[in-house]
Amino acid sequence: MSFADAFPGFKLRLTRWGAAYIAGCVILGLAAVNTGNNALMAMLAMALGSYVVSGTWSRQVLASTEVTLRLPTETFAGRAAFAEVVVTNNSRFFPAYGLVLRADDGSALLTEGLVEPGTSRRRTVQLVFNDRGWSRVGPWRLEILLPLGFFMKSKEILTDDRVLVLPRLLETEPKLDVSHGGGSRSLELFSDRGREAEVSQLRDFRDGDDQRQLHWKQTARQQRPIVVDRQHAAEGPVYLVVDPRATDPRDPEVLERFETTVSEVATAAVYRLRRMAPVGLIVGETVVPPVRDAGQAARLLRPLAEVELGGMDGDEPAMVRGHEIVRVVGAAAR
Amino acid sequence: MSDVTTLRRQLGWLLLWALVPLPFLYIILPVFWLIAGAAGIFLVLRPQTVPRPSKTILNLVAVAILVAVVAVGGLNIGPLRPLGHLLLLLTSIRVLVVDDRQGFLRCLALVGMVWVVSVASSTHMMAAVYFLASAAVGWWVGIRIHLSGLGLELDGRDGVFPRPRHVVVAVVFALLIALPFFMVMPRLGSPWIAGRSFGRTTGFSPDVDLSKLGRLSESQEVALIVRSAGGEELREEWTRLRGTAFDQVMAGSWIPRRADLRTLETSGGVSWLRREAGELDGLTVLDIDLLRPRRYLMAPPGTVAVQVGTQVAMDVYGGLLIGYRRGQPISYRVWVDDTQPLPAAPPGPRDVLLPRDNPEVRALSQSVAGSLGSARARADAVERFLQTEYDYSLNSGVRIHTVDPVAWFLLDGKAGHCEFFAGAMVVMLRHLGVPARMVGGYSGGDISPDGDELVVREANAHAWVEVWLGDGPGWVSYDPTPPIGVPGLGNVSGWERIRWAWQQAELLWDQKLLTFGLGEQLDLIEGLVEWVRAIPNLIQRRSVVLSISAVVALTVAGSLLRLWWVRRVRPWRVGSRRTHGPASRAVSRLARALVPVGGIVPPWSTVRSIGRQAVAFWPQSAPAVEELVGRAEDELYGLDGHLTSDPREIRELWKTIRSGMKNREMTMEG
Repeated sequence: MSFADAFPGFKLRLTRWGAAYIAGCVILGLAAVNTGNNALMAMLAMALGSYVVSGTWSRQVLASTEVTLRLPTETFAGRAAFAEVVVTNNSRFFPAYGLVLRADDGSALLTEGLVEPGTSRRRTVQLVFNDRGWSRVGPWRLEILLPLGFFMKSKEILTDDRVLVLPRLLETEPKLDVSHGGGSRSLELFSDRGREAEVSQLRDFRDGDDQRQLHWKQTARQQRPIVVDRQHAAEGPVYLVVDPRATDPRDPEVLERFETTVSEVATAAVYRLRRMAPVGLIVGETVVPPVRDAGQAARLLRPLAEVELGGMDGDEPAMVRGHEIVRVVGAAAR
Repeated sequence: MSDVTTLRRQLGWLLLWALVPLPFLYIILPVFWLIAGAAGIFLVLRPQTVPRPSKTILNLVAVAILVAVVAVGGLNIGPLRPLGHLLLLLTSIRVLVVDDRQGFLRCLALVGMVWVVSVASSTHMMAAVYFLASAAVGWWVGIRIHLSGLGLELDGRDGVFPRPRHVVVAVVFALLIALPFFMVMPRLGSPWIAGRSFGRTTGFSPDVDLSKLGRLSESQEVALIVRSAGGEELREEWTRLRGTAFDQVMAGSWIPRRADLRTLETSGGVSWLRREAGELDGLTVLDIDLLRPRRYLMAPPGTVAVQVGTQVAMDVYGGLLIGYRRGQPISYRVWVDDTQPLPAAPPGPRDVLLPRDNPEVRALSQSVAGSLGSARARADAVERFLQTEYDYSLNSGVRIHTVDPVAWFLLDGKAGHCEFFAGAMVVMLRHLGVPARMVGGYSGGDISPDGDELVVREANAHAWVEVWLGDGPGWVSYDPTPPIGVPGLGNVSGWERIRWAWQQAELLWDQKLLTFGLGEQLDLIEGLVEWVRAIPNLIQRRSVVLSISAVVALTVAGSLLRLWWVRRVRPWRVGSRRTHGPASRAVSRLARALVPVGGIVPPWSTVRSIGRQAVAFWPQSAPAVEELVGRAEDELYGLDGHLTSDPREIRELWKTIRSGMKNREMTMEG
């Protein structure tokens, strides 16, 4: 294995500690030669021996340490995602002390005190992606300062992992201005429609639940808040339509409005699915048939994560007949 | 405990560690290392108390430090001691006011300098142990400092960082790499090197160098080693090794006559002192390593011939003079025949020359032996007089440049070392008209348990007297020094073998480390070159082929043994050794403990099945066993990243299980 393969993006930096050590060795050497004192000679020899051992140790550890990453299946922009990082020391003899894994912005993702030879340590690191869409993870840097910290050695941890960052979800369910048929209605009206549906289950109250869902009798009986989940199966599917066309797609203000729209649509879709209300999606020419289960949310969110704002020469959003259409007015229409 | 408190305590321990050799050295006065020690103890015991003196007080302390350093001698006693004192006081004050990590790191440099002073001033062999231990401490502390800098917990549930075994291995490897560095470091003879002085002649002082024959100090440095080439026991008379004789006093010192040197007849590399002895066959052969060579070779009485790799000449007193060698050891072989008396030239005018004609000394000599007739009687009387009436002392206190040391010794001081006694006897006999001269050399030493090796130290340097008793007896040796002052012969037997082994170790320490110099480096290169040259001859030798075959056979056997060890069937083992944690190791122990009591633990047993059996056998330990099993499963199969348990907790669990086992055994026995 070549040096470049073993140490991709290798960097070597003399630390202040290392500079002081070298200066100390020089002074010790001068004193030893001038006095002929063999104790000073022995000290200098031991210092140099330690220097060699420390350098060899850290180099071997850096070469034989692997970092593998397992990204979360669902990552939303602006929200913490927890990735699993496995640090493996493949060396047969050298224990790895003081490994630091740094993100591309220089922040420390994790610090590992000791990885014994031939063992792995599994850790969880928190990642935050600011923008939706496909994003590449890394390159990260693996740093080693120990054992004696004369040099900071580091190499790049190259991963082929690309993560699809789903649109940013808003804190509260958005009140979208939608066009429906010829008039305008709030999206909430659709969710309100299922209020009278059949009870699917009773469950504990969770943050974000509507107080109107409380089942008062059960709450009084069980002395804890119980809410009612209702079956919205009878409700007809609703399509959310995103029109990615804009007159000036490069305008930052337009871009920002478009991102907000995508976030609102994604949030609305998620909220509807949580209520088990069927919802479909039309993004440009892409049509996602209605889904009902929250576990299928990715089918809706993936197109939303990948959609990009284009010019007016793009295709008009497809239409689906026989279903109610909630047309989200995108950036172009505003 | 806060981080600063931990750092301060650590600094205190390091300071105390750096001070360890100082009480055994003379370079730093006790009051200074006591102050530094007090600072270290304060940091260890009260690390949370950080003194915050005002600038005024600090300025006053600085002045006080300077005054203290000057008061104990300043630069009048050389630069090293005052600098050491200054360093200790500054360190003592500085470490006390450390209140952050940066201050701690800066103080580490100061403590490191104190350590350098301590080690560099040490010559005892135990300094090697201290040095190696210090290397381990340095590695330990260095790793911990950096790990704490990364914000890691050093004594948490993952155990103590760094692992001691890692530190030990690192130090061993550092030492192995350091050895060649140590050997090749330049030891040049530049005039700026303030190394060992080989040309000192101090005359009548406690640190007397007997005219470059041997230093009569209390030094335990090995001066020479005598070995019997044939392995026979060394005779006691051979343990008095003669350098040469001194016949005149100059500038307070007895010196030999350098004139009348005779080149020895040489044949076959052997220089003959007495060619008439005939053949060398049948003579005793002694190999001598002179580790501190001066101008003369040391030889036992009766030496017939000498073989040495340099030119040698003999003076009129039988001293073997060699060329100047700067401290480089010299090895030579002598042939001894003590059946014939030492041939010697008759006394010359200088053998009766008085250094100073002191009437009081003359009167004293007359009163002691003036009434006696023969030279032998006079010599016996003077020897007895000096041995009984005068005391032996290494520290006479005489100022040799202002008084006549012999007269002072005989009339005023009445105490001194062997050179005073020998010089006094020579002067007294010369006052009485008997030719006499002082002889310098070594007396006694430590004989090996087998009796074939003698180790002679600098402290064995001795001076005695040769008196001319006429043509028949010739020059006869007398020793006027009281027996307490004559370096004796130490026989090694019984428990003293340990002491002998220790002395051998000291010898190695002295030769290979303490005084390792240019000469040793040259010898090393010479030996290396000879070894390389000898390789072709070695290859042709049958023994070498056999040796290589033996090494190959041993390697194969070792590999097979290792293979068997790895693949041997064991009752139960926890996966790979590399994944062992304390809990899984404890379960291994539990499995082993089950076998003798009837448990069945096949290799495919799971941790839980072992636990179930253990609970069945030792129900009292059930809670601890279940906890242990859970921990082991976490270690072996857990995914939370904390794969190992805290060893201390596992120890406690194991103790509980063990007590349950013992209770069960007692119940069964009852």
